Amino acid sequence: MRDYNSESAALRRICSDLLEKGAVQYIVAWTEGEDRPRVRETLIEKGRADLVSRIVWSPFCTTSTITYLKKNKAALAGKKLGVVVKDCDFQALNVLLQEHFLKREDLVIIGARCDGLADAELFPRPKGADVPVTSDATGVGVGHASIRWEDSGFTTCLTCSYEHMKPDHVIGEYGRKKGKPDWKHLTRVLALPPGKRREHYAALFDACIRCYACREVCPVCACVECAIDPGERAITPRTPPGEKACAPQWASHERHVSENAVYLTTRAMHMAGRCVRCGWCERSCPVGIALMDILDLSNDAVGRIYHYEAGKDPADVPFLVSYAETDPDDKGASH
Amino acid sequence: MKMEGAGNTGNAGEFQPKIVAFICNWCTYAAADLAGVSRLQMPPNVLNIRVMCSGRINPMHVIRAFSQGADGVLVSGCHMGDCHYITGNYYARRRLLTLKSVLTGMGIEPERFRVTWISAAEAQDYQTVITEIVGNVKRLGPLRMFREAPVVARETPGCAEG
Repeated sequence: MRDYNSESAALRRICSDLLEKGAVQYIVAWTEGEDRPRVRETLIEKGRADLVSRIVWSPFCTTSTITYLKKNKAALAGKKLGVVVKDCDFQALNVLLQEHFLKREDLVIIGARCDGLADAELFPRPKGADVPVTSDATGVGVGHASIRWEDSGFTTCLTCSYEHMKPDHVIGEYGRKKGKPDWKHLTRVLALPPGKRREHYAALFDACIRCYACREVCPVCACVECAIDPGERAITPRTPPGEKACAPQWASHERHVSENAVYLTTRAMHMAGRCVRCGWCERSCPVGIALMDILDLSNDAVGRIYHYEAGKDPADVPFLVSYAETDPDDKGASH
Repeated sequence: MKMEGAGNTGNAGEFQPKIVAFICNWCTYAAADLAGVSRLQMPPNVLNIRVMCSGRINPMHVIRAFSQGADGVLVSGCHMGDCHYITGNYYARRRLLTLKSVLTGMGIEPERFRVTWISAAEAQDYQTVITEIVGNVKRLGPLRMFREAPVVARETPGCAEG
């Protein structure tokens, strides 16, 4: 049985130590407010004891602190940062370190060992700030209310296999046995004949409204300039031809199945060897596209053919920018 | 980039597939050239696009070709170790076979997307590959996946079709 209130207290002590000793200038952590147990990620600087006292770690810390770092990269550049991560955030951080997007020496990583996440909306709002938040091998509870992990609304957590996190400081102990990643939903899709699979995926592509929420929340979607939606280099009537040539329009913004297919398939390829299966894209999708069905196609290829795990080692060369002479030629490349 | 030219020849009524072939300047393009000079017969459904190296091929080139109406795509470069730029085809192999796994998982038949390595001397291999891919794709029929919306009830009627 894990007690997240005491783990949060330990986390607060570590964070306040780091800030007081000047080991870091800022801490990025989850904090809670009046709408407990809901949390948000917050940037905390020295002297903000009021914010430090609200730092929390619980299964409701569903957002990614790495997405916060990604979005605020320019503002945080060169600053010494403490960052609180759970297992999938740690993997995502490794991906960004592999790509030299962040510098390891700028970061103090505080890892919270995670058993799985749960949707805070499933619980009634607890009364008082000291209602215990607990979890065990079967489920998660707030006060007297509890739900099973299977019903927590976080399907990717059920197949999470991350437990080799190596942060600078660590919080908590695993209370649930983690398994090998198994992608049952994908196996079900792949068992269909090609024609049915085409229908399945075409229906997913057709539903997309191109809001790019999946890209925005993704902790590793960190390109300065997105090939699909080049905002920085938007083409206007006054754009000179030379610049236009440097910004090919890979997919139009038109909401059509063929253009959506280009976007979503490209995203799956871009995520090859980078997707950490946090599942946040799927949860953020406003039209409920089963994005993991698409992304797991490349995750499956990377794991099955190349035995590569995204974000395992920060010193790795990224998957698609490296090669091995022993790579198979066509073995198992098709379903 | 609409492929209007390729695939319009042949018997009336018979499906003529459109195949886009990205071929590398140093090996496969020379093989294609040799095949032409040697008068090797092969179906005319292929649009050859010469690139300097198979490592130039971004997965998006392939995806874009499919979405713009290609029924099949061929990427062909030098044999491993023979790349003019030393390692270009090693990178291409890893990324294109990952792409192949993704595309076939989506239900695009593996015969529609081929990655081959053909050296400058192997004109006959080029002929074989082209004949095979055109024959296979002709048998499979047109690829409509990326072209037409599937027939499913829309939740938001009145939403304009693109």
